[in-house]
Amino acid sequence: MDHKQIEQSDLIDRYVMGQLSVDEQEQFEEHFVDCAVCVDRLTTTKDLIQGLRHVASHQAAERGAYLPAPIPWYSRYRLAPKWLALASGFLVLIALSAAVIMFDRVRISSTEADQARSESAEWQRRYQEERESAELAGKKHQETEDELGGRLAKLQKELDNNRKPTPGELPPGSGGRAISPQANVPIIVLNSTRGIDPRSVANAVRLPRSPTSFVISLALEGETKHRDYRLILLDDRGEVIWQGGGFRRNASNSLTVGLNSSLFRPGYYSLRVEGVGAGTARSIIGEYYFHVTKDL
Amino acid sequence: MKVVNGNSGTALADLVSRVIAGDSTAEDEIISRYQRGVSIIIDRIVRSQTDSEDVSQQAFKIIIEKLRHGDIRDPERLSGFVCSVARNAAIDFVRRERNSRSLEEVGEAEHIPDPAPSQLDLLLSEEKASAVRRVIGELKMARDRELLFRYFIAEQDKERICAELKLTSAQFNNVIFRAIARFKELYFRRIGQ
Repeated sequence: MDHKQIEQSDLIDRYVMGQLSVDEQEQFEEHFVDCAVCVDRLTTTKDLIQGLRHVASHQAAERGAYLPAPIPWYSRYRLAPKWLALASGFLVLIALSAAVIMFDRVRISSTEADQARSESAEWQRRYQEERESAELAGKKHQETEDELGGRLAKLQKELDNNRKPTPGELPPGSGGRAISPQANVPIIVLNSTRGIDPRSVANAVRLPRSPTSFVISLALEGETKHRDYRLILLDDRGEVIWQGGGFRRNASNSLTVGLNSSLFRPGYYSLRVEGVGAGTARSIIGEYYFHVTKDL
Repeated sequence: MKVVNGNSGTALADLVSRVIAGDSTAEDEIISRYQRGVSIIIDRIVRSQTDSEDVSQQAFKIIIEKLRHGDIRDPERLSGFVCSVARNAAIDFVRRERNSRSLEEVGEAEHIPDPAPSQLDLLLSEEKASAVRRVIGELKMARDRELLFRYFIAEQDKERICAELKLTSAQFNNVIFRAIARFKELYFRRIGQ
């Protein structure tokens, strides 16, 4: 018996642990079945391994190394395969529906975004056109204004050049006040003709043909009730040629009014005097008829 | 690998001749001579102490009957013949057990054997564990304890263990030898052998 080979090849340990090939196993069995030494070693080795496994398993159990893993929460609620399949199908259906809805919303949003982009581009184009039109109109307006301004300046210059001030005319910017005195201003005193035929006793007023100013004095003949008076100039057909208010008596109890001869043509006229009372009440104080003739 | 058996073929042939001749002492001698080895072979296949003893009896019954009838062709290879009969007996037992379990599954079994280890098995297992604890406790180096577990429990290669624990093969064998010797001493002392 060659135990040296057995020792070198660890046949005993490997046999107990089941690590020999079939041939090795049969040959070794044929040896040890009739070998007390090998049987002793085999028996002892087998017992030692069993004892080691026993100890190892106990140690592992004490350490908890072989405790089963904690059951996950979802495994506690076990479902029957039928219900599991139904639940899975339901979840898949929900997932598909959500996917379809999401896809549809994305498609709608994309379309709306395209429309908004298109509208925005259209509005931008319109705004550009309007701005260009406004710029063009402003330019034309400026040109027109410049042209009109030029024309106005030209006309003003021509007017200033062509205008020859007449004697007694108030120059522009004088505010209606005579800057230079006017000589030989006619003063015509009219008497009241109310109550009688005006044509028979009409005051005669002779005026020059060229335009000139003259003053008419109206004697109020005892009228002192009113503070303010109003004058109305009428032609022979009774139509109002001119009228004005704010007249007041002077020291000789008369009203004076300055007129221009260009207002009159030859013919009969009358000046009606109205006294202005409190509020809007008016009363006729007198009628002053006169006949205008002009020099040839 | 060729293992040479030290027992002479002539002695075995003589033993077989005595059995054929009706010598009952020769039969007892054969049983005594091969009993422990046959138990190891059968136990390795059957994996149950109780069943292993039954199968061993069955195996020796077959062996003796065949020897009596002169069914062995080469008496000098008696050990090989014994091993072959032991393996076949164990394999037959396992096959019958497997068929029996199949019948149990279809409800035709008359009884169901208890698969749990017997009280004797449990007792022996505890004794082995106690002896192992003692042996491990007596090992001074943690490296030796690790060696035992890696070699016998994790079944790692000897070369790998030697390389990782920085041991020579002789040192390795020495640790295993001393552990087995000490275990044998303690275990057999505990079980009274």
